[in-house]
Amino acid sequence: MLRKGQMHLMEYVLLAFFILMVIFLIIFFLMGWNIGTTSSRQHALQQQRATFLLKTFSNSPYLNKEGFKEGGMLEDSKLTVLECSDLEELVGRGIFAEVKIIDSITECEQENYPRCGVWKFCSPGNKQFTAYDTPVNVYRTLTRDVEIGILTVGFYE
Amino acid sequence: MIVLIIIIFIGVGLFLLISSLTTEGTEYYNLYTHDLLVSVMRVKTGYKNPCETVSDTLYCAMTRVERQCKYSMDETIKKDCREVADEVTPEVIRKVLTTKPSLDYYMIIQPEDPEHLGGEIITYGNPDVQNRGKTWTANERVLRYQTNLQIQLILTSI
Repeated sequence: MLRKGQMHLMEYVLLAFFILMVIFLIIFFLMGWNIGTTSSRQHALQQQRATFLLKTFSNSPYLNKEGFKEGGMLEDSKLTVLECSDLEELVGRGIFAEVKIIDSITECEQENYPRCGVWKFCSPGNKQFTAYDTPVNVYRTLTRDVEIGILTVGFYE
Repeated sequence: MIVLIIIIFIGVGLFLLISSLTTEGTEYYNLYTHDLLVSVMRVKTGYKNPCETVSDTLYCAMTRVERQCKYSMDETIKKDCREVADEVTPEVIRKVLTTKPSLDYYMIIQPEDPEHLGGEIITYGNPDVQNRGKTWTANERVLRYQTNLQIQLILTSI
């Protein structure tokens, strides 16, 4: 009788211990899941912000060739005169951008225009940054040529 | 009883896990695919009319089979529209995608009316892309007098 009672008691103790273990495991799992979703939400927000910046830059009427309301046809002469302060006025501070024609390596300045194909604005320097890119066209004002390039925009802390 | 409790907790945990899963980056990759397709179509090929841009060249390749295009830098060089299309289109896409080595593509060019032009289709890239799980697709129409073209670009992660 006593043994049966002891066994029942042991059963309840083991059951309680097991239930507590399961509860702690669930708590740890939920904590880990919360941290995971916070980090993935942050990543999703960064991508949303980057997509917005890419669209803003590539569709800006100040940079596109006249007649291309749909955007994505950046004019090289407009890119060459654009400065970091202009970009900050357009999309805010903490942003950098680069337009690079495929196979080009020469950075554009007013002195070497149009024999160049890379435009950089507000370089991040050594700061940590997040960047996204998309293809764009670059219209060469003098030769009336249309080339393909990559627009990269990013933001840093 | 304990088994029932465990099953309930696992069920709740799975529900929370599944509801937290999101399709990451869809908007960005949709934008990228669309911009890639539009940008490629607008690029000048280096050849003269009717092969001035990639979209012109593809249209010529589909509709004016025997038409030839002169190279701008050397007019003695003449190629069929289809030759120019095959030379330029995949090369431009390949060059852009060197900046995204994790992506593969498939492009389909066909007349809007499939019965027109004998239902011919021009394709570039890897056809297996269509059968991959996660893909991003962009569509463009090339509007012309004789027939419109439908151009579809499909991207996927390798």
